[in-house]
Amino acid sequence: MDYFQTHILPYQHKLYRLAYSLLRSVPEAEDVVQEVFVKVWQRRATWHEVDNMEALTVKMTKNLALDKLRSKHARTDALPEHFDRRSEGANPAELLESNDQIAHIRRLLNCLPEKHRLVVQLRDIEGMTYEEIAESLEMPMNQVKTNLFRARQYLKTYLLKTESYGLQ
Amino acid sequence: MDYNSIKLLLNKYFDGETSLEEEHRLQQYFRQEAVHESLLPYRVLFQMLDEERQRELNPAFTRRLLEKLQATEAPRVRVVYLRTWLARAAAVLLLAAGAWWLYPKVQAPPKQPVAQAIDWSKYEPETPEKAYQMLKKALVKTSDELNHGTETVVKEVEKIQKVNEVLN
Repeated sequence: MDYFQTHILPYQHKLYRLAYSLLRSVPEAEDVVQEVFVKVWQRRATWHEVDNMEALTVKMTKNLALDKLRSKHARTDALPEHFDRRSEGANPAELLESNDQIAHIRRLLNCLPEKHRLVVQLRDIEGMTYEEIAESLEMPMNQVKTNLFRARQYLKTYLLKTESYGLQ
Repeated sequence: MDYNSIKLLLNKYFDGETSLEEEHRLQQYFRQEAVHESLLPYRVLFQMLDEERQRELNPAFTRRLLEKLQATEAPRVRVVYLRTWLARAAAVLLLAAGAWWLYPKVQAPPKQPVAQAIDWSKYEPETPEKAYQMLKKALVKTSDELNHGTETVVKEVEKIQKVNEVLN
């Protein structure tokens, strides 16, 4: 338990933010984090075989959160408003209705494709290296960089558009 | 940090070419009050990233998680302990049974009847006369046996001769 508390538990907030970024629901993100830690705990006999516990827990969180997201969509048979940039919410006219600038840019971020959101989350919010992101997301390094580039360009374009509409 | 270097860093950032350290400098710059007017549109992005970074799990969640993990710890350990000892005991019993079965066969020599030592001193002639008598008896017995043998051979030869006569 000591090792768990000093070496694994400290990832809890990072995992929670990642789960929340995909699910946009506090209880669901908490469920995912709890499930990840319970699974890790059950496999404690094999901890010594794990090279990078952080990457492993991030990967598990991402996979569980995406599973939950997809099963939720299957149940409701409808996409949530944040699911994809090309569903609802990506319309600049709608976005401009928000007076809260931070909420506005957050909605932009949530409208990004899943892979773009994940790399922005791990790089710009969690400050992870490209190598760590590639390992955690099981994604080649060049794809990590490409996704990050596209996501930032997308955000920049909308920021400048918003500016030109005179809301900033 | 002057405007030009920040502008350069910002361009690098949106092109996905900044290091983690450079991104940290950008975050620091946009946290301050005095942001250059032309860079103001981007400030909201860094503010949003800062806010997202502060999103954390409730301490009550962590407490419940640890309680849950500790609750699962004791029974599991006891089961493993019991299983281990049962396996060890079974192995020892198996070895003991095998040894019990094999040991007598390997170690015990086949039992042979052991003749008692003869005390030849009892049969030693005490005087030369007695020795002579004993020898004489032995020679007479030998002579009788030889005579008996000759008679037997003669009888058998006679039988063969009779058979030959019948056959011829």
